[in-house]
Amino acid sequence: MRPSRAQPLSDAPLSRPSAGGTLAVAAGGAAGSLARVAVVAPAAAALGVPAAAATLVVNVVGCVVIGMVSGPRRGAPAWLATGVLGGFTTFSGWVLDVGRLLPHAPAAALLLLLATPSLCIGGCLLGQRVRG
Amino acid sequence: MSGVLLLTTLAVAVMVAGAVGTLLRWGVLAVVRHRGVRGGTAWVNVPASLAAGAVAAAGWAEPATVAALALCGGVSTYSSLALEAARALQERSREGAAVVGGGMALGLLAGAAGAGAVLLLS
Repeated sequence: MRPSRAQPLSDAPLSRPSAGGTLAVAAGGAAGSLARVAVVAPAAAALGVPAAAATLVVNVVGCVVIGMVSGPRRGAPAWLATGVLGGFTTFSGWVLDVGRLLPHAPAAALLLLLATPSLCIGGCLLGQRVRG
Repeated sequence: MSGVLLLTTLAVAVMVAGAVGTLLRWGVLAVVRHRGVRGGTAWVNVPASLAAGAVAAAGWAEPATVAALALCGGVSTYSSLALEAARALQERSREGAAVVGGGMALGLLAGAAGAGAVLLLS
């Protein structure tokens, strides 16, 4: 087991990522965003599921998966964690959904406001537990 | 534009916006972590929410709105935020929990502020 060590801060310059690594993170972000906007959202609309519920499912699924792939010491590879899952999940979408629901359905807005962080954090913990 | 062409254009726009947003988030969070600045993902989620609120209120044509919101969605993240929250819970860190909760509250306020600013100015 490696000894735990505090994060090194600010002394060394930020290391420049490789071109391949950068491309992989960008491609992951493109794929994650496309899956959310062009696959899950239209599928939910076709099934009659409200857009806000689709965003909630997207965020919870992304949080379960990041829990499953992130180890306690080393995080998941950047193309997956930062790229695919970061592009798939959305904080600004949650904020917009709460704002859109608020005038017409305040109870649903409050439910979404509370359910998203609870289920996302719970989902992440569950994912970590599944990973063991 | 024909339907297929429009859908293809939108899909490409979403991919480009998602990629650019993801690289922006990657860069900002690398600097935040490197310097040991407090706040974590709030540094991307709060500005993305401010912009998303403004875009949603601006009432642009659909392709522009979809692309701009995809950029905001690419910049913001819930998965890394959930990891930060999980870590704060496991370490029983009050400060970590405050940062996560504060970031969420600020993000919600930023979204309302972005929309409000656009509605006031238009």
